[in-house]
Amino acid sequence: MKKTILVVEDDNDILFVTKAFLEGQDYQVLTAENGADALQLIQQHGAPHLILLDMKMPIMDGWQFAGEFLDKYDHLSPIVVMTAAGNAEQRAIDIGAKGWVGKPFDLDILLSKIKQFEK
Amino acid sequence: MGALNKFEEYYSFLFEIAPDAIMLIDPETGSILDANHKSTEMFGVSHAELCQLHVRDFYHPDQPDHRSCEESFGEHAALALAGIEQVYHRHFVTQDGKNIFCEVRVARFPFEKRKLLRVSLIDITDRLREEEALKESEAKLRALFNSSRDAIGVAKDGIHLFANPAYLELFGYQSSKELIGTVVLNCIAPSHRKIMLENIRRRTAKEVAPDFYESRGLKSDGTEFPLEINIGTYELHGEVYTVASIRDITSRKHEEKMLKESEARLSSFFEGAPLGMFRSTLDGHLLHVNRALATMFGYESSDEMIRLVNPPGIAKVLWESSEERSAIIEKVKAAMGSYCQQEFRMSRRDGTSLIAVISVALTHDSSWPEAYLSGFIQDITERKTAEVELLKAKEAAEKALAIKSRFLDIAAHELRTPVTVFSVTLQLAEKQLEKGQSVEPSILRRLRGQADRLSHLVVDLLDVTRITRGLVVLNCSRIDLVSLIMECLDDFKIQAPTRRFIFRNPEHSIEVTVDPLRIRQVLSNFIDNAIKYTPEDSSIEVMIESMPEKLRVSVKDNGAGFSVEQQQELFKPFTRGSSDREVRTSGLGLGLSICRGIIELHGGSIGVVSKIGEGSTFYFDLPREGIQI
Repeated sequence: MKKTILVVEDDNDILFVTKAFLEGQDYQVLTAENGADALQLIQQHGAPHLILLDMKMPIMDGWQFAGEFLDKYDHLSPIVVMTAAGNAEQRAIDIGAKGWVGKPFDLDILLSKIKQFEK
Repeated sequence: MGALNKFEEYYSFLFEIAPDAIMLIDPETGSILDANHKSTEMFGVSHAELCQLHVRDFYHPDQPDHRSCEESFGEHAALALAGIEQVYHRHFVTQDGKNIFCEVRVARFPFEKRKLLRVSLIDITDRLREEEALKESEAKLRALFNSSRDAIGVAKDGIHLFANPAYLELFGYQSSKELIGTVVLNCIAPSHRKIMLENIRRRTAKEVAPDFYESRGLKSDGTEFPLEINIGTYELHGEVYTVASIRDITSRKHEEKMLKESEARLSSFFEGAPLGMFRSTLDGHLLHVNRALATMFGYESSDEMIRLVNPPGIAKVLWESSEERSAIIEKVKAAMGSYCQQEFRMSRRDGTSLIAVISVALTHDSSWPEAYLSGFIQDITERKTAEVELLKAKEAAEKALAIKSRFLDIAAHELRTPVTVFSVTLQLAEKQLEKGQSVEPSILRRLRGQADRLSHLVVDLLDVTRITRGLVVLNCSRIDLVSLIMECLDDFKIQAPTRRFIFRNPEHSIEVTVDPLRIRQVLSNFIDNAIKYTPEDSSIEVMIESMPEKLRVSVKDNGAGFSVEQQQELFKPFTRGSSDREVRTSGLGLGLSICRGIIELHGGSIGVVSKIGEGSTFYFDLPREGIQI
């Protein structure tokens, strides 16, 4: 059975490319354009194996989403932060995420991060 | 015989009434043979008693020449008998023991073939005493005259009669011989002689003349000096004598001059100081103000200020709040000699306000009968205004800095997003190509879209920089505004085919002189915003309003609307009206500030009419006459 990855990202193009790449790597990919949509998806489909999370988004940003998700599901799904900010690692620690990738990211590095959490 | 008797009677009468004491004395024995009434009076004995006595009975043992009665009488009697009248002085003792001093005259007196002596005595005791007193007084006066430090001189008819050593010294004469007999005027400087001459004339004529005045002296060596003369006159034998007491006042004059100079310096310091200075009574009656203060409050001169301020006083005229003045007076009184400083709002003559710092102290000196206030007033209006301006500028700069920092944040995000898309899209394409798969056209389309997005960002950035630095030059031409709007709307209808656009134009064609590309940029920005921020199903309305002097182009939407605070920020660079959190938008928030710059270059204005929940109408006005270049 394919592992599910939820990509939460407000930029449609990044979302499209990431989804296309991960599907090519045999993942099932769910996408959401903001934190609120993401929480709704999780409620409908259950917690994914991993969440790729952008920070700056309209309606509900990464901070708010992480807070609510951890409240409800604890560390059921590891969160990997995708951010353009210089202090990506700190941001990841701040919200209790398990890992981070800095934008623009290398698709192979992204894949290796994802693989880490499969073990 | 009868005639002889008459003579006898006559001489006897003369003898009796003679004012001198006259006695007939026997030269052999010294016995008194006869004496007149004055003699009995002088010695205090009766005629009968006197005729029983002898010269030696009255002779005082202590005489000026220490001679005894016998010796003295013997000698004088002998000479008198020889026909030489003797005049000498002797002390006598009267019956009651009183010492009298007499001038004695002895002459022979032939009587009935006998040679007698006529002795007459004049009591000169009182005269002697007076003479001695006079001598003493004279000695004292002489000593005073000689030792006086004031120069004292006596003159008659303008000629020196006497002068004391101080007088000689003052005028540079070696001895009184050089001076006495010379004209008084020789000792007066030529410039002052006329006045002096007039005074001498008046005094001689017994007219009123000043008795105390200043003049200039002339020393024998020709040097002049200031002097003070005190004149008195006395009369002797019908002649008027002048006594002058003269004092050299060179040092006093010097001190006076120094004092005057010092006063003049202080006065010029007071008058010329660039700081306003004043003196006033405690109840606010102005005593002195300097020119700077008068100017500060808009008065022509110090005098005018005092004249115009005084009836009501400074509390009412100069202070905006007279209570504030009362408060500082209390403070000054409590400060006891120390000064107080405070800032006040005060009024100029024309009613305008100024902010002033007053430093004031309670002063007590001989120049005014009661304690008064003296102090400085400094106009700090400009400084205060500058401070306020500076504070405003500082706040504006801080705000600008905050806006720029927020802008950089947005810009970083906005620039990194397309870069991220490029990067990951190219990586994906690469991987697909490596696997021998073909690259989908949609991927390339996305790449182009992001390239356009980057290009827009760069254009916006360039525009805002060039407008801020005044580098944008309009390329104006005469065009039809209606056509321009219609063309623009046609483009949007293609871009957003689902949106409904309404165009209301009152005329078929309106000619204006504008830069068509720039005006279209503004209009596009308005419409683009309306599309971004309004629901899909709502219409967007564009209209032209024709006003007397201008044309208004507006774009109305049914979006969320803006609060008054948001409206104020909309046209400033690096701000975005709508919250980032609500709607996903790209861009740097520079659009409207660029629009404002473009419209202002056209001599027009830009604005928005909006209310939260009721949509917004963005508009720009263009001058009908065309732009003034």
